[in-house]
Amino acid sequence: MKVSSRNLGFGILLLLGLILAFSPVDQMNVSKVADRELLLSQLHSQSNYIEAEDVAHWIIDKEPGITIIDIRSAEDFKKYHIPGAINIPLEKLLDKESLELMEGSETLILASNGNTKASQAWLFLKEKGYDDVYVLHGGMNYWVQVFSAPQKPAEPYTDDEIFRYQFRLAAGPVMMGTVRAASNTTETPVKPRPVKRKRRSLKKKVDEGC
Amino acid sequence: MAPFFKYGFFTEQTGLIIALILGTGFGFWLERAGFGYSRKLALQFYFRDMTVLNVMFTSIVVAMLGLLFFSLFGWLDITKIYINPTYLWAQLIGGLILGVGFAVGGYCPGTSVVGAVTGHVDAYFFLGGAMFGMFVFGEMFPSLEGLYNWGYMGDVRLSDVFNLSSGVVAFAVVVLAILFFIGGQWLENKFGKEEV
Repeated sequence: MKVSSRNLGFGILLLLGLILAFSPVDQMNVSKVADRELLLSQLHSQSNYIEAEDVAHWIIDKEPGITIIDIRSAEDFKKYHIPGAINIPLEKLLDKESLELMEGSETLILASNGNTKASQAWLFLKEKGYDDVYVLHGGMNYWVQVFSAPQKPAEPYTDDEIFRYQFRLAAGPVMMGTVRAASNTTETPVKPRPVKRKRRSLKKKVDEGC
Repeated sequence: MAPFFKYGFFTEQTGLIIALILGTGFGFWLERAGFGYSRKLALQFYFRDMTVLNVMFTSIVVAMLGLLFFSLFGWLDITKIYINPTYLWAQLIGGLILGVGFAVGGYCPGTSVVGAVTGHVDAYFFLGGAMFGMFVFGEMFPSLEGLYNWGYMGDVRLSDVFNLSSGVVAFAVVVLAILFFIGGQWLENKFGKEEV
């Protein structure tokens, strides 16, 4: 029997389709578990950290698609928090509502008092399948120290050091704004509005077509 | 392990160069398939030349089988692949508008670029019209935003919607493609294949 190349092609396609129909394709990656070795190496090389200055720059530039998540208790959050941050205490991190808050955001920045708890939260979120998650290096302690009373670099200093110092000095009032609001008794601290962003950004607008 | 970019095997700059190579190859093969020529493309809508449908379905099936088999072999983490979000009604309306423009103008956005590069004057007019349309859309966007987001379903795949395994959906798509190939040939014979 002579088989035309066309029918042979159809046959191969059907066969490949049939194999797929009975194979566990969805079980391969269904848990969305991140590669543990990769996570470990990121933890080790500290590439999961983001520096306070970088975050401050993003806030000032109003960089889209970034959500700062404050994982301290609601009480601490009320006292002071990074402008624009949302509060999701560590124990509520994996609640449905919390995950909804993180939904539309491309980049998540985790802030706790120090590094430890934020790093734990980082691991949880990475395992959950979030790609762009970072830990605020030094946490809120470092953040407050840097922006409320920046230390002038000791002589002799490099240009870079003095620029950083000047940036910290200049950014301080913006970054520490809510502290003043909280210390002023007549003014109630402004509760940040949890903004639910739509999953859309310039980067993702690239359409593929014919 | 793929996707290479997500796993940091190369940087964004390298990615852009790869995109340029892929894009050039895409344009080259479109031209080789005769897609730089509006009359050939328009014949699709009179069922006289089903090349567009055949090429589209072939690429869909090949890419789908490739992705799923690579995932099955563990070469590719398919959850890391970017999926275009679905806006059901917005995309249906957009598809209709694109289809009408395709039938009228004889090009779709990609092929009009190919046509323009190979020097077809109608492709330049088509491109100009597309630019104008983009400008109007951009200016009107605030009033069109509701339409633009109509039927948002997130990053869903057919297997999520029908609650089937991706393998079964893949098989269904293969069967569908073969039916379309056969049906396309039947239509070509019925309406008369025209050589251009």
